[in-house]
Amino acid sequence: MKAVDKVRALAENENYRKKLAVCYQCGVCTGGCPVAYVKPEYNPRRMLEAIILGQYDEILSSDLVWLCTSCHSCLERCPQRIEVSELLIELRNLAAESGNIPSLLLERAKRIAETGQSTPISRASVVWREKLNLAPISPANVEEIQRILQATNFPGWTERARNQTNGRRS
Amino acid sequence: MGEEARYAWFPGCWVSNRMPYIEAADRRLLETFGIELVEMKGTSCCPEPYAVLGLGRDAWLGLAGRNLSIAEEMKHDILTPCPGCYNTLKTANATLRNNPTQRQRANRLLSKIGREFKEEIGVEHTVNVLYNKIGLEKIAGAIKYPLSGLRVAVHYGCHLLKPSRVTGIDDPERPMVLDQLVEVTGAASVPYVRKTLCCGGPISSVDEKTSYAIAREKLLKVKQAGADCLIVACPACMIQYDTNQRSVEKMFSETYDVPVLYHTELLSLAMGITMDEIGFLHQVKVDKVLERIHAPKA
Repeated sequence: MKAVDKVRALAENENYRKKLAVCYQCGVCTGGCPVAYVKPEYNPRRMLEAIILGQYDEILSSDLVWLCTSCHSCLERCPQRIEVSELLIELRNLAAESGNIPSLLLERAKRIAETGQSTPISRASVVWREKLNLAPISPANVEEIQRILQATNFPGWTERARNQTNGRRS
Repeated sequence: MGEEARYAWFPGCWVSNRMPYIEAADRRLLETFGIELVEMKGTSCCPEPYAVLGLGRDAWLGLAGRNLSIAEEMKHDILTPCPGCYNTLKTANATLRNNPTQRQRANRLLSKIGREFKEEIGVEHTVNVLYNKIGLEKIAGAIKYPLSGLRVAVHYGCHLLKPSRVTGIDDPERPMVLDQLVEVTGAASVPYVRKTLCCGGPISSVDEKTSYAIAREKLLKVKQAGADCLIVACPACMIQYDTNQRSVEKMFSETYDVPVLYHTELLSLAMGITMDEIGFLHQVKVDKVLERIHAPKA
């Protein structure tokens, strides 16, 4: 199933349809949104409207879906108890599946697939920890982590595997 | 897990690697109150919500479930100083406990590496343990150098509080726990506008300008309130407000000069733990704050 069909399936899923049907477009989500406050073209209310109206392509192909900070203000404040920020995570998963992933995020995902950590252990931190009498960082068990990432088709893993294959060919 | 004062310590990637001074402060502090932190072996990134949860929910739940299973083997609740890790591990723990379908999916993944989620432990943040387990009274009794006269702007950040159905720490709109943990040192928590605003950090790698514009809003309000410093409870907020503050100033051609401290650094100093023991390294100078503290400067 294509990502756009999946958004349709998500929006038309009984559970979500019930949730979205009660949105009366009051805009509390947008009013409390830290991103919308400084960047008006980011508008969670408008995103909900687009889903309700079936404009799925617009959501998936846009960079805007990646601008949510997951502060969850909208989730806490929605008078209709729509979990907007959680819905946006679902949409980011579908955008990722359709190939819409910001490049720096993909880099971080690859790093996690490579080392198991979001920040690789640096030499500076090793010295610093020693000075503070802190035990050395226990390295992640990369083999176990990669098996999970591989089994779930995690983009950071598949991208890393693709790069390795290309690297060997050239 | 009742009265046991021993936790599986999960500092997270950023604290252990980029901000070990937070770990040093927490360790000294918690040891003083008889809490033992046991190292976890072979853990991964919690994993973080932006680059992992945003890209694939199954991978996120699988890795979080794996980290939880390591603590289950140790038979200790997890304690973390990072609200990001707290939020991820607590959310994953609740999902795996309450959603049989998700649990089955995650356990199918975990069985590939000989692991299983068994629903045996809980997840705590340092703020929780200080406030609820140790308690304000005991902390007040340990203050050696009261920080009277110090005016502090308290910043809660998002993931310590929200979604409140998961974190359960405090009221997400009118939180008080961190203010109380600051005021027990003798410092005053000053009122200011936009107290529960997000730091904007998570989107800095996608849209730096928007991310910094959100940070700017907070830094301006803290400056307007005349606070001596900003107190945070999150390493990501620390990076955004301290490490990135000069870049934000440059982007908007403004000067904020707001010193930023992690909440346990402030508490440690008030308890007489020396700067040498914590060894912190901040981008924005904290001298003005230290001058007001009569602790030995080592």
